[in-house]
Amino acid sequence: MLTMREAVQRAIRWVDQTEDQALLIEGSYADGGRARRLHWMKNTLLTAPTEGLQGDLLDHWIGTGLLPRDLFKSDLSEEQPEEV
Amino acid sequence: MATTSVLDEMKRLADYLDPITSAWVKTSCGSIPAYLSMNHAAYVYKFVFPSDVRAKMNPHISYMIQVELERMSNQGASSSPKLRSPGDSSHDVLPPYTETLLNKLQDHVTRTYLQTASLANPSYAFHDEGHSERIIDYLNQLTSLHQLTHRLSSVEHFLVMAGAWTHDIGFAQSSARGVHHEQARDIVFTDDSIRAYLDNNETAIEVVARLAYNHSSKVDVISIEDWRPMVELVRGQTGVVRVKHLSCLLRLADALDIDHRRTIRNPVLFKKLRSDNPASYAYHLCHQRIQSVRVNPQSRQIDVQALVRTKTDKDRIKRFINERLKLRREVKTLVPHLWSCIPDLKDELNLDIQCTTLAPALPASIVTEEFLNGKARVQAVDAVSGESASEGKSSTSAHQFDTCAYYETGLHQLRNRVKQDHPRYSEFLVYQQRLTENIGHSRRYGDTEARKAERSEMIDHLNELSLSVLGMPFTDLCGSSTPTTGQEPSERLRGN
Repeated sequence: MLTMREAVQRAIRWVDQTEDQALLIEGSYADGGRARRLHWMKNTLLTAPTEGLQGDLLDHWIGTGLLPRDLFKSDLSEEQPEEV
Repeated sequence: MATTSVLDEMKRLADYLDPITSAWVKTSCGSIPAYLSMNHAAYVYKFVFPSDVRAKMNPHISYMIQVELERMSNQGASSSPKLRSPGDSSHDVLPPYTETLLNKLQDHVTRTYLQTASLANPSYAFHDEGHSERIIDYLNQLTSLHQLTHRLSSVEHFLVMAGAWTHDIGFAQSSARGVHHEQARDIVFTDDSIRAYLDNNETAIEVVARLAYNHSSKVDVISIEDWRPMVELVRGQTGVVRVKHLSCLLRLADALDIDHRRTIRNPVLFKKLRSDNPASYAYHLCHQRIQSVRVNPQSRQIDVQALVRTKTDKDRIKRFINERLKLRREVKTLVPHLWSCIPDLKDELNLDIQCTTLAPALPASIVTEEFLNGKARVQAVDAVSGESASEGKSSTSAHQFDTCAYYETGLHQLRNRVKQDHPRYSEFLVYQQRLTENIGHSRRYGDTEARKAERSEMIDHLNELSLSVLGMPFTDLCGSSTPTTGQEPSERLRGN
C-alpha cells in the first residue's frame, strides 16, 4: 500500500523528469507550454500545507488527466516519464 | 468568462482561510498557466474551501465552477481514444509518427481551446474533449461499415481524427453557434502549434480547416466541393484524401453525439438552469433522456435508445431528435453522400423509447428538506411534471450513523459488482470518493443541510449508475435492512 508521502515523492520525481524533457524541447517556461505546467504542478504540490490537500491534489490531477494513473500502481518500481 | 476573474475571486475568498492555506491558494492561483485556471479553481472550490466560504462566492462564478466540476465528472479519466486497431477492414494502420502528432494535437487543442469552449456558454451542450472522443467512437462505428475497397487510408484516417479534435475549437473564441465553424477554420490556419502537428503540410492544414468548416449544418452538404488532393506527409505517407466524404463522416458522427453524456446531471445545477434559461433547460433535459446512440452493424441502421417517464416526455424526445437536434435531417442529408462507400446504410432511425418510472430520475427530481422541531418534511418536486409528494419523518444524529453505514454497504456491494474494465468504472470511483468523503465529514463534524444535499446528489448519481450497469437501484445494494428512520429522502423516493 502506497503511503501519501511515497505517492507525493513519486509524483514529484515524475514531474521533474518530464519537466526536464519538456524544457529541452520547448526551450522556455512559456505560458501554454508543458514545461510551465509541470513547473507549476511541482511548486503547488510541494508547498501544499497539509498531506490531505496533497492527496486531494493528486486525486484531482489524476482524474483530470494531468498525472498518469499508472504512476501510483504499487507494483511499479520505475516510472517512465511520458513522451513529450 | 475571463478566467482571471475566477482566479481573482479565489484569491479574495482565500482571505477567509487560515493564513498558511490562504497564502498557498494565492500563490498557486497567481502563477498558474492560463489554461489550467478553471481546473485549479474547481479543485480549490471542492477541496479547500469549506461550505461557509463557498457560500460567499460570487454566484455566477460558483455556478461556472460547478459546471466545470460536473463536466469533469462526466469526463472521468478516460484514456485517449483511437480509431480501432490496425488489421480490421475499416482503415489503414496509423504509423507511430502520425499517432504521436495526433496525441500532441489532442493535448494542445484540449488545453488551449476545448477546456474553455464549454465555459464560453454553459447553457449549450458540452463541446469539450469528451465530445471529440465520442465522435471518434462514432467514426469507428461508421468506418467499420465501409466496403473494403473504400476503406480510409492512413492519411485520411489521420486527417479525420485531426478534424474531430479541431472542429469545435471555434467555441473557445465565440459562443455564437452561427460562426464557430468559421472561427475553427481560421484557428487551424493560424495556430502555429496546430500547423506543426499537421506536419506543417499546407495541403493537410487546408483539409483539416475545411473539415472544421464543413462540420456545421450552416454549410449545405451539396455545396461542399468534392476536392481530392494528394497529401504527402513527411514520413513517406502519401494518399488521395476524399474531403467531401470525410466531411460527411465527421458531420454525421458529430450529429450522433446526443446522449446524456453531453449535459449537466447535477440536480441543483439543473434547477438553476431551468430558472435561468428555460429553453436551454428543455434542450438539456432531452439529452438526459437519451441513453445511447449507436450504428448497428447488423441492421446497418442508427439505433437511438431513450428512457422517458410519460407520454408527453416521449413526444418531446421524438420532437427533439427529429426537429431540434435535426439528427434525422442530418442523417437524411448525409447518408446519400456516404452511399458510394457504405451502400446499404439506412437513413431511417431506429427509435427505441421506453417508458419507465425508475430511470432517468437524475435531473427530474429535486429534493428539499425542511427541519421543523426535530422532524423533517421531505418534498420531492418533479421537474418535468410538477408532481409532488410529501412525507414526515423523524431524524436524529444517531440515525445518521446508521444511514452512513447503510451507504457504505451499498458502495462496497457496487464496487464488488462493477468490473474494473467497465467503461463507467472510473465514474463510480469518483462518486465513491465523494460519498466517502461526505460521510467522513458528517461523522467528524456532524451533519449540515448542505452536506445532506450533497449526499442526496451522490446517491442520485449512484442510483443512475447502478441502474444502468446492474439494472437495479443503488439503494437495493445497501442491504435488506432498510433504515426506516435515518434514510435519506432521495433514495426513499427513487429506490422503491
